[in-house]
Amino acid sequence: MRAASHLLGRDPLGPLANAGGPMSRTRTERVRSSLLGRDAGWIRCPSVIRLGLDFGDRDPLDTLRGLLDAEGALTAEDLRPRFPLPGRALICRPLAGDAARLSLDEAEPPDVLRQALLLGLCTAHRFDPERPVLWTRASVTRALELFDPEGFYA
Amino acid sequence: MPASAARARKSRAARSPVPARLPPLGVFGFDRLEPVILAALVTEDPLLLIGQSGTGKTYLLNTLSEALELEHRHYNASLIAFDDLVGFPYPEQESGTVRFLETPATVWQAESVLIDEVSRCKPEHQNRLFALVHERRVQGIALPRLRYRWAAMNPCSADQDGDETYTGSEALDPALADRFALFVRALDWDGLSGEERRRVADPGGEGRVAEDGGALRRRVTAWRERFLELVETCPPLIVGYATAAVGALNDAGVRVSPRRARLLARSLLAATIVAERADEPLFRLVLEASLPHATWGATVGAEVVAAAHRLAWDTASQAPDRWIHAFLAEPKLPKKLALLLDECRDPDAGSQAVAQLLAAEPPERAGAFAFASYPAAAMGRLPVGADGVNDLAALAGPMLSVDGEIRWQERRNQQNTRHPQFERLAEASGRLRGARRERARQFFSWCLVEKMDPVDPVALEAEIHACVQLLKRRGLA
Repeated sequence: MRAASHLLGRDPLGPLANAGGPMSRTRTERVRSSLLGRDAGWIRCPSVIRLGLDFGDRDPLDTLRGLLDAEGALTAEDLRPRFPLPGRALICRPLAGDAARLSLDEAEPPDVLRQALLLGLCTAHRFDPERPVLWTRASVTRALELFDPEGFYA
Repeated sequence: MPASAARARKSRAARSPVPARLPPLGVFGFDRLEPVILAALVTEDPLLLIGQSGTGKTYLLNTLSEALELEHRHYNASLIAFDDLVGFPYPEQESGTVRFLETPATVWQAESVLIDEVSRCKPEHQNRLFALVHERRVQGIALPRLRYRWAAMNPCSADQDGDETYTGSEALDPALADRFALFVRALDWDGLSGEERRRVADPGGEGRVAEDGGALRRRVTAWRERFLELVETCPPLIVGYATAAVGALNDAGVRVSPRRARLLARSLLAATIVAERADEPLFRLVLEASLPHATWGATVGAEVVAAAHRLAWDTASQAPDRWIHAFLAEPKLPKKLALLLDECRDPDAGSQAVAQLLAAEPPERAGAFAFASYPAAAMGRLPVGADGVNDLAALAGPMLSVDGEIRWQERRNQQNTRHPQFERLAEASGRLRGARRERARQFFSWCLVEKMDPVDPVALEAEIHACVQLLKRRGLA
């Protein structure tokens, strides 16, 4: 067998010697692929809006109630006629923790209330304009990107 | 073509019978009862065959053991001695206990046991068989490898009305009979079709070991997995039917034990998995095969069974969420989706069905269903409540945007290899075009990252595509 290997031009001792290292190595590859937010290709599920409020050290719910009072609104539901809303249900995807949020230190109150209204119509997965506006600590502190899923079925 | 005719044709196509499993093994004459026999393989509950001599009872059971590649024991109860079962006892001095010398005939390593002529057994042996059938034990010692307990008997002396009489075939003790879940009546010559008679008469293949390339064994394994998944939350249709049927029989003076209600529910569940349907004829077949009375010579009138079945079926099938069982039993994803769209009237029931599907299906199939249906559900176009949408979203959300790492081993003398699954999955999507291709690639990217290994990626993608097409045809997407 060694002779045959030698005739083939290989080092006859190579495969037999213990090189001391592993016979295999681990390969790693990153897989990134998304159907959301694309504006090219067959399937287009465009990004509609990004939502996220930065309350700093303020209490989110108290802060929003204060803004509601200042705007002369009794409840979050009263905000609906003041801001245009997407007309149909959308898919939500959480934004990365370091994604930019609208800072309450810098933003105008109407911009904050609009985002709060939209966040109040979102669960972690879905925006539904038909559901009641729910302001909870969890809902108004989420950071979400909303996509129109209609194009999935292209 | 009128719409009703088209629906009827579609319905027939949807209910086309699953392929017969027994004729390829050389077993003929059991076609009508095949769902019952296969259900017993799935539940692993005891099965008793009753029939005239020469009707293939023993042949059927021995053939099943060969096809399932089981360590099988075949005992004749009329001749059996206890040593045949356990081996020769000898004292083990070191431990101070008694051990049994095993032989190829002893029961200790058996995976299936056939007790032939069980009705000709001596009473003292019946007691030992009782423990074997009921508890999978002999002498109080567990038989952990034993899966199948089968028996066969001629009609007992009180149940004989033909020309042949079976002297010595005695009534079974009802307590022993009640441990058997299902009872299959083997057909005599008069009951066979012309084709079955020809096949039975054909001596070709005599003595050959039943071998189907492992097809039945693989199917039984898959059915059994599904059974174990579903039995924990047995569908209301089945529990309702079993409860109502046993109640109706007892009300009619036919004593049926509470244990049998549970055995009936298990058998029904397995039969619906095997037959891939949950319709009235199947339920009646299983009910008829679940009554033990013939083993002790009692007769239950056909009209009594028919009335109990009718009452039970009407009671159980009027439950508003009866469709959920058909939804869960249906193996094809597009048909599941069609059932959801056609039958679900209550979003909470839709959410319940979706939750059970996602829990019961293998992960890649659950993922495929969620992937195809979640966008429509999110747009409010499926009859699914908020909980159901959230369940679909939790699975499908990460599939719409995949970002992860895959790892594989590469030999040192290789370079630029791909992940072992990559070629398979790329091939499954490579032949596709347009949006279908993009969806397939996205789904398979998720499979790679999540280490899913679809058995048949081409077929799974076709099911996703069929779901998408269904939603588009219905104007829901």
